[in-house]
Amino acid sequence: MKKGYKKLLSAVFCCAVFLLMFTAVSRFFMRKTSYIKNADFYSYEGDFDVLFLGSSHMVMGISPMELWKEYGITSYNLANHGQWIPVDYWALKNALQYTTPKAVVLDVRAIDIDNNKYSPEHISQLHELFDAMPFGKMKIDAVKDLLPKDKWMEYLFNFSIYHTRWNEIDESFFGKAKPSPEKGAMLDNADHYDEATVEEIDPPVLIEKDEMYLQETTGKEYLRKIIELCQENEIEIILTALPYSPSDMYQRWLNSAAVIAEEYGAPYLDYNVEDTFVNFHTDYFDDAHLNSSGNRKATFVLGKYLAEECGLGNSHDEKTASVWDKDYKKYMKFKLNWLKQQDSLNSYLMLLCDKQFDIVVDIYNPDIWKDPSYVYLFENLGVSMDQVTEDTDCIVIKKGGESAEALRGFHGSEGVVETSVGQLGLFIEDMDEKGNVVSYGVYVDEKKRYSVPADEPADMRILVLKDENLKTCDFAAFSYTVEKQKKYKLTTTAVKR
Amino acid sequence: MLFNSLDFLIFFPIVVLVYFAIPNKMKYLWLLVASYYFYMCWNAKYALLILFSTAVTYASGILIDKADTARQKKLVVASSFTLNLAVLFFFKYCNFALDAVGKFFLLFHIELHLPVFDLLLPVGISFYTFQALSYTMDVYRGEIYAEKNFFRYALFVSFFPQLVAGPIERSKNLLRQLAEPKKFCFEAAREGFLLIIWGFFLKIVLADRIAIFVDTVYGDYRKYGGWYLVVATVLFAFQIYCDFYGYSVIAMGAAKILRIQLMDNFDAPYLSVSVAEFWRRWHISLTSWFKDYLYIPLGGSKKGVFRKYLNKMIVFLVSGLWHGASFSFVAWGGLNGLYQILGEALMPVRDRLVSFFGLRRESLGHRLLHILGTFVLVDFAWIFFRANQFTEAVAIIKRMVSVKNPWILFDGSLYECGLDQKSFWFMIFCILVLMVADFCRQKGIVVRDVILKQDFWFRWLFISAAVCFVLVFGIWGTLYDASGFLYFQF
Repeated sequence: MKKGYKKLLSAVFCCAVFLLMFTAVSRFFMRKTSYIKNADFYSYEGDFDVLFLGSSHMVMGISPMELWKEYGITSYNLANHGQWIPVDYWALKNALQYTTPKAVVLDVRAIDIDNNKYSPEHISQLHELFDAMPFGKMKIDAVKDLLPKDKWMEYLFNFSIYHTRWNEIDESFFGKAKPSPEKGAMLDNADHYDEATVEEIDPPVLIEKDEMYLQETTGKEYLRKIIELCQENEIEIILTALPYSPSDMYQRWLNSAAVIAEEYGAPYLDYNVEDTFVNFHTDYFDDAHLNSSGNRKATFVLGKYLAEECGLGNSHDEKTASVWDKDYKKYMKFKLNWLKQQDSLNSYLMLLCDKQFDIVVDIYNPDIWKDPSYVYLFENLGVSMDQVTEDTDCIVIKKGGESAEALRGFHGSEGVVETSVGQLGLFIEDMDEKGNVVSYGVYVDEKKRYSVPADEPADMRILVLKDENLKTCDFAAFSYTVEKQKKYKLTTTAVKR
Repeated sequence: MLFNSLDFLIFFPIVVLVYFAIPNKMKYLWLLVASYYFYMCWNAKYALLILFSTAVTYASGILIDKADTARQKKLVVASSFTLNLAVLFFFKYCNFALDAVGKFFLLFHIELHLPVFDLLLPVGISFYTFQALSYTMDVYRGEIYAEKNFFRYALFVSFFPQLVAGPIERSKNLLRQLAEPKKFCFEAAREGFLLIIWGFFLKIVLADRIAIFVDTVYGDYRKYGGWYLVVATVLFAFQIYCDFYGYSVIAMGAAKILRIQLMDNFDAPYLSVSVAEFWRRWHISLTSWFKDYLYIPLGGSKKGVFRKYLNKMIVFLVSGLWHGASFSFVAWGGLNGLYQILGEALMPVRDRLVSFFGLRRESLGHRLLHILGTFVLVDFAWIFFRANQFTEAVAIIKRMVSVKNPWILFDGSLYECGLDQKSFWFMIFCILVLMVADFCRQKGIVVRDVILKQDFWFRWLFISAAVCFVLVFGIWGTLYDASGFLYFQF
């Protein structure tokens, strides 16, 4: 009996060792992106004010951290690339186990999908939702509802796919993954691309709002389920269609969402309208998705609605506010890091459309104004072309476009110019024995911001300052180059970025 | 239900738990139910075929027992063989035979319009038919008593661990064990579990990985010539070994947990120094079946040299047919038979050469040369086994010798045949592990005994690491495709 007991204990311990080892191995092989995107959602202790749902339009279109900064609204973006409305339904149902938001905003772009609950082209993207979702009845029900039987194992037991990554082991497998500071959003796909993107797109040819497809689809079926789920839980549901360039057909589908919204007494905010807030020259990542500049604009417009119509924001206790402010600092660091990765002028200028930045643009080559794409990007930063002339050699931009002023003769002066961002000065820093300038520096509010050798070529130098305390965030110099068809590309500078 | 399926991983623990929880008298009934469920997961209707084979051979045992004269007994044996082989023939060889007849008449420009039956080959039919027939023969020979309990006998024919891929058990061994169930034994379960892990390593880490390379090359042999086919053919030798051996080992392990000892089916066959030895160590249960129930009844080696060679050739041709209904399998069997006949016939010449040159047969070099030579011969025959048709095998051999491309062994081309560089070399590493294990076996070292003799902490770590190793490196689940996870498409 004693011996049998010992053997049983031995088997139990062996199983325990195996389970520990297997857990470690599974974690090692698991892709960390789902954790990176969702960890902050699962670990959040309070209730969010708003949850955002939808597909890529939403995940790239709305930034919870910008919403917090501008309106004091706490939110999480649970949308994802290729995430169709049935998947949104399960993402929301799962989310409601952890938080009770005051409002849910759903982008209805995928209202047309039928006969399929997930996008076959984006099936792997479902791992972003399921990998971090704790195992339980909800997860099983979701997988069973959304996916065919032969895919269940892959999503319920993701080791069945990730174990085959053994021959791809690299640095990213080791160490703990840090949650994204974006609260579920994905600005410009910053985690996956080297460069932010600006794509000029054609505005849509808008049709009448009463032209629509009325037939039922799987998308509509689950849209109704989402509305009913929200209403059952006394959560305000807001349907939206973030701006892009929809075809006639898509506009008809989007228009049909208004009927469903009306049926349930829910608001529907379609931003594909004549007097849209987006700039088709500067605010798009591609022909369907907003970039960082467009994202901020969409966030502020939607945030205004949430604040004014739903009464959300700026009512959080000190503890919550301090947590979110702290998170915003991390997010700001992330944005700056992203800005510093850019080496083309158009990406750089697009990212500068941000209320957090004061900007000083030092211009050495007026040819830049001959290229309309740069003109659009400067206009996007609040610079009026009426102010700019051939001899404009410095532009000062306050709060990423709130106000802008063009200076002339700045390079020739050796004094202080009063600007909206403070006292700006150009000083000779070093001269050789013959009296030639070896290097000079630019000062803002008597503090040296950068110095460069006089013979260092650059067509444009940009100094980025953080608005409140004028702390230098970045300094970059760009010169004309034909390489890789990027007209103005980052050049080496004497100042470390 | 396959061993390497999630269904089996759920099914087997339930079978074991219930088996040891119920009274001894009911154990065989439970295993019978489990075995039929196991088989019916594949195709419920074909369970009737096992039932038919079971009923016929069970009845044959009873009738042989009751028969008064030798003639009556022979009649019963003949009836049992005829009925069982007729079913086997119908399901496995009918279309092949009709096709052969058609082709034969076509040689004389006579076109026959013979029917083609749309039949699905019942899984394991060759295995359980042979196992059931061995029972008829054993009762006839008086080696065992006829089993009176129909259900226990039905379990002997359908015992799930070895039902679909062997080993082909003998009634003397298995029926007796089924009649005397044993209590749960921790040590046996642990040993069985280690065997199962080893079996899974062979099957899903090695065989299924090698299959990716071999299938790529053989599937498009017109594109891959020369050394691609040589490498694929060498690898196929290991694929078929690991596949079959792995399945047999899992069967042995599963049975061991149930405290039933199945016979060893493979004994380091690629370390054999002759083709004859290879066949004593490869698929032992089938080879011995043919020896006991075909070769010896044909007269074996007791009726002169010519009859001996003829009998050997018959056995190998039938063995080829047993493996599959196609001329390429017949050619494979015939080639192996020919190797053996030539080997024996040329033995005096070889002896003289060895003596003339003063060679030492027991030297390492000589043994290695024989092992290599045997491998080359056996592997060459595997081409016929692997090819879909006889003509395809001939075409593959032609492509193998006509295309000269030895540089592909060095320039990285091999990594474009379904396995990338890391996977390819990992596969080679695993083959070396297998060969080391086979070498240990040859030397009488039982690796699992060595492991089980270690301290508890080492055993725990080793078993856990081994399972994790198989789970990580096994070919199962969905293949990860990084491009599917990229965000370039929305």
